Amino acid sequence: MKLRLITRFGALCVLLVLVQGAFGQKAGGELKIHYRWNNQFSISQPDKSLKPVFAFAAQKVGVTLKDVANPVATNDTQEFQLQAAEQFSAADIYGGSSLAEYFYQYGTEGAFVDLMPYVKSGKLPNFKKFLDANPDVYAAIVNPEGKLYHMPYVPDGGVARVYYLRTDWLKKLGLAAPKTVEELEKVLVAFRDKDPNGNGKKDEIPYFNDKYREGVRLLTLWGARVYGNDNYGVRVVADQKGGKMYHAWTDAKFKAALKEMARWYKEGLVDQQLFTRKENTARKELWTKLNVGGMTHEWVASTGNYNLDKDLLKVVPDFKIEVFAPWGYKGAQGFEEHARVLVKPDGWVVSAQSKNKDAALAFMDWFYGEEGRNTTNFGVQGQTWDKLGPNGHPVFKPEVLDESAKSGGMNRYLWEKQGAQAPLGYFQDYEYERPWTPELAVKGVDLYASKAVKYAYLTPVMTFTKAEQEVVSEITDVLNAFLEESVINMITGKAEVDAGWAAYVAKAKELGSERLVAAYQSAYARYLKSTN
Amino acid sequence: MGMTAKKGIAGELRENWQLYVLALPLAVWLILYAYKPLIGLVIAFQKFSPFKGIAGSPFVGLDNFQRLMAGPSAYMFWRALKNTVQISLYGLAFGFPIPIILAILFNEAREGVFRKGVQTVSYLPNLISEVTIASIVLAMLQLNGLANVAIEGLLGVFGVDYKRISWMSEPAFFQGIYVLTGIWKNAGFDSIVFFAALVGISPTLYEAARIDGASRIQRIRYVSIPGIMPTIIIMLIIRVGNVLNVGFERVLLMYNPTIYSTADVLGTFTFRLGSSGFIDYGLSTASSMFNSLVGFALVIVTNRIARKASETSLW
Repeated sequence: MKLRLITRFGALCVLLVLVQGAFGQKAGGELKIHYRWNNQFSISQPDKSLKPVFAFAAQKVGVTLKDVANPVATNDTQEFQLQAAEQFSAADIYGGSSLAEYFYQYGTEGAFVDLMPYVKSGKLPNFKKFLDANPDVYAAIVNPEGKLYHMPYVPDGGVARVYYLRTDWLKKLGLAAPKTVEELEKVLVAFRDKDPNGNGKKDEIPYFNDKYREGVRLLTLWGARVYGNDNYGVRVVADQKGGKMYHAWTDAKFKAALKEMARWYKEGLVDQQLFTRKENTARKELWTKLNVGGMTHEWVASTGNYNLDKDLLKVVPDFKIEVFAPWGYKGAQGFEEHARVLVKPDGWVVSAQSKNKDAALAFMDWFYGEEGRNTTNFGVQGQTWDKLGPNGHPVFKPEVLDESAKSGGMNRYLWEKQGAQAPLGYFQDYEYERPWTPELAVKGVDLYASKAVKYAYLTPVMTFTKAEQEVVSEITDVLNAFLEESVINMITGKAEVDAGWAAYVAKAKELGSERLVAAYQSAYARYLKSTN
Repeated sequence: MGMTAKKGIAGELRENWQLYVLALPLAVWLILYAYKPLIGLVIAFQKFSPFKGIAGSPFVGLDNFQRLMAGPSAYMFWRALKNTVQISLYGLAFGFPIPIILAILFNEAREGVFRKGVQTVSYLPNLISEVTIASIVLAMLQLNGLANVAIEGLLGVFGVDYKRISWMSEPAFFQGIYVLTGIWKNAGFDSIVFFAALVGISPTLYEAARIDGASRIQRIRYVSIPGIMPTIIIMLIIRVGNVLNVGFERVLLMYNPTIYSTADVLGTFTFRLGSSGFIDYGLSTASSMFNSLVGFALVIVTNRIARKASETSLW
């Protein structure tokens, strides 16, 4: 009797759960998402609930989301590759950072849905509107066969790195602000010799950088091109739009600049440990800890915050770094080479095995719409912001600005608390950055964004044909490794620039530098045609 | 003959089934985790895509090996190979005898708290992770690190001027630093095997030697060392087999672009080939397979030599 009662009760429970499940489902169905970023975040909170941005998006689009990514993985690319080995059958939407090449490769092998037919047929209205308004983004992501597999992350705000110089040291030594490279050299010599940090030791390091590859970009001071765009791997450049492409690292201007930088290194004007220091430790070490650093070339907002660093100001109360426009050599106008890249190799895709393609596409398209853009940039309305400001962009609540400043920065705050600013397919909004950029840095941004600062012509982000891509993949890594080692030896004085230059260029050609330039040139010709 | 053999196996199983059951989990693990993955070696002969899988990726024969050894990156490959062999040989020449000497010293020392204490302290570095060790070493060898400060002070006592050396920027020093770090980390732990072997030598042999008038050094030379010779030979064969397995982790943590010419080893070379984010699985597998094949050949050769030269060999 009792057993029968229990079984009946059990059956009733099961029925209720099923019914609940059926009603709990949204009209658009369920979307499984495998998306991670920064090697630590997925779309769920630690308590398994969805992050606010994604919960809000799901509600607006009318779908239920299920997070199928590994919550504790530490290598996002590896997780993605494991999914590749499963033919991407576990989820409808996949994505992450630095996956563009894989999106293209697996897309052509049949793993992902080609988005172009849907763009053309109107199923992706917001994304289509964006592409129509931005032909250079279109040219950067749609491959030569006219297919597009991913919705990309498009950054906003051109200014990236700027030159920062210790103006408290300038003041202390009674020096005028330098206006040319020649004057800058005199200033750096004074930094080195006249003991501006006042400790009686000749321990000052006039120029330093957190990343040695960025340090090599100092060669631009003497007029040489170094990198094509934000990515340190692209070293094929052109001098102006429509110009002939060439390899920056085998150019005569590069040789002349190398000699100057080698001289600076020898004379102690460049950090002697530029290439051996652990990455991303120089600013903390040489400013906050030792107060020996003079000048660097760094991201404008995050570095500007050193002016407000309490620990640093306790030890060095006068500490002040200010933004300077790039200096020119021998009367030429200086130029800046680093700007935010047009399209990041991040974003997300729809699996070809998805049974819910329409819902997946609608979900992804929402992020490119106005509401979606505001939400994924600033967080959910009502939680991190209430209304739009006079310039039409959301305004953060003051408590959000306070809390984020205390907890490791706005980016981290938004990633953790909201799931906003994740590198999925969306168009960033620089206005999210402006409110927490320190005033000095804002002045720097405005300076670099004005006509006063000239930017080098950046190698556009382009798509390659299969043949061109093979050449690029085959040559790039090996050639870059050789170039880097040789250039480092020349800068540090282990190799002579004049004596070794011919052999260096010959070896670069042997490793394929000219074939590489040819591949870029043909892709560039196509790019020019499609953006004109 | 056949009948006896069959009865032999069945009888063997019946008699000693407990031992076979004990060995069963390990056998299963070996088959699943060591032998089954060997199927993946075929990737070395393919243009592999994880999406297409092993079955779907095109076969390219020896293309990957040809690219590895004669393609554009060949000069880096051969340099990495040279560095790997050099570091291993230094490690072998200096790092192999030291645990033996250490074990002999422990054996000759009087048993007691002091010996136990020294032994324990010598094992401890083995427990520290590679990351911590690399950080310690790098911090000590910086321009204003402990090493330079100490040498400066020492030479200053004699009035000698010393210009601080950036140890980690000179290619010539890296291999020595690497090997010394390895010795510091592993010598104590490696000496355990030899110490255990020494303890197993019958004390009567030492007695007999002492009665015959042998000094301590002579006792070590004629009793201790021959006594652990089988252990030494086995450990040597294993060590030689690992000649191409120079620790990827430690090199990666300790090297930097200015010393690639002596610091780049096979593991780090293949790692950097994939550093642009786009990994060539076929090439990496070919590189690892080359690594393993050479190690395999070396083990066979060394074993044969050991068998000819002594009674001890792995098989």
